[in-house]
Amino acid sequence: MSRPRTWQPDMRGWWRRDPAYRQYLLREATSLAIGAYVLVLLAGLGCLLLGAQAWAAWCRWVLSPPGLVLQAVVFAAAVLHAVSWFRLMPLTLPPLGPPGRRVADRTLHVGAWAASLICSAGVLGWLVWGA
Amino acid sequence: MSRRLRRSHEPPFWLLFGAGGLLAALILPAVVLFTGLIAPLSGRCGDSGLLEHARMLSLLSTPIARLACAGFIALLAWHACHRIYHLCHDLGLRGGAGLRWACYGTAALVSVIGLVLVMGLPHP
Repeated sequence: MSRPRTWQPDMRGWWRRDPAYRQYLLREATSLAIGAYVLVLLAGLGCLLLGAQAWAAWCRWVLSPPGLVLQAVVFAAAVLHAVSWFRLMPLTLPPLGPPGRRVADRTLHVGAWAASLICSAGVLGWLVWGA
Repeated sequence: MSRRLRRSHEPPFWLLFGAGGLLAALILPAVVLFTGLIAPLSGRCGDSGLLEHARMLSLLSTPIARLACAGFIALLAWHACHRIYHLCHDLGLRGGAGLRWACYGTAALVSVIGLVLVMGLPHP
């Protein structure tokens, strides 16, 4: 018996249909930049382990034009990721607060950005003054 | 499908993806700002300034700092690989189980390598 033939929508080029689809795609594509940066950090960790010479080579690469361009792209992607992550948080978080009452979206957004500011300051403080 | 309802693989991966995404949203811009702008401005790279070899080693000398560093790299890897897997699917790439293994396998590999490297760092 052959499989029943059902209607299948043509999904080719679906991102051309709506700007919101392209925004979605851009948001998802930030993962490519973040993934690349993870590899850069992992390489840095390896070079740190190998010794001062390897570490200096890694530092030179990070400062080279390709390294700086990559980090500029990663920074833009990270900011875009943060903006979209926090914007979607009222939808992705389980309901907070007492039953029947929702925490206002605005409270969540302000709280998330405040947390980001505090955590970023903490991390930067540790990286700059930690040793 | 077996008689028992099959459980989805998704929740553990989504949890790692969510943790990595939150971590990235909270501090990734600051970390990139450090490696790409603040550290290079602080002195000749690798020899002096904030990225000096001995300084980085002493920064990563405590177990907590090492665990945090490895955890940061691992969670970001799980986050990125999960999204790349779904991005492939959205773009019409039918990779099936092979693609899933490739994506999540990469994340697992990065996590393990990061942990091994961080544990092997010499003490200053």
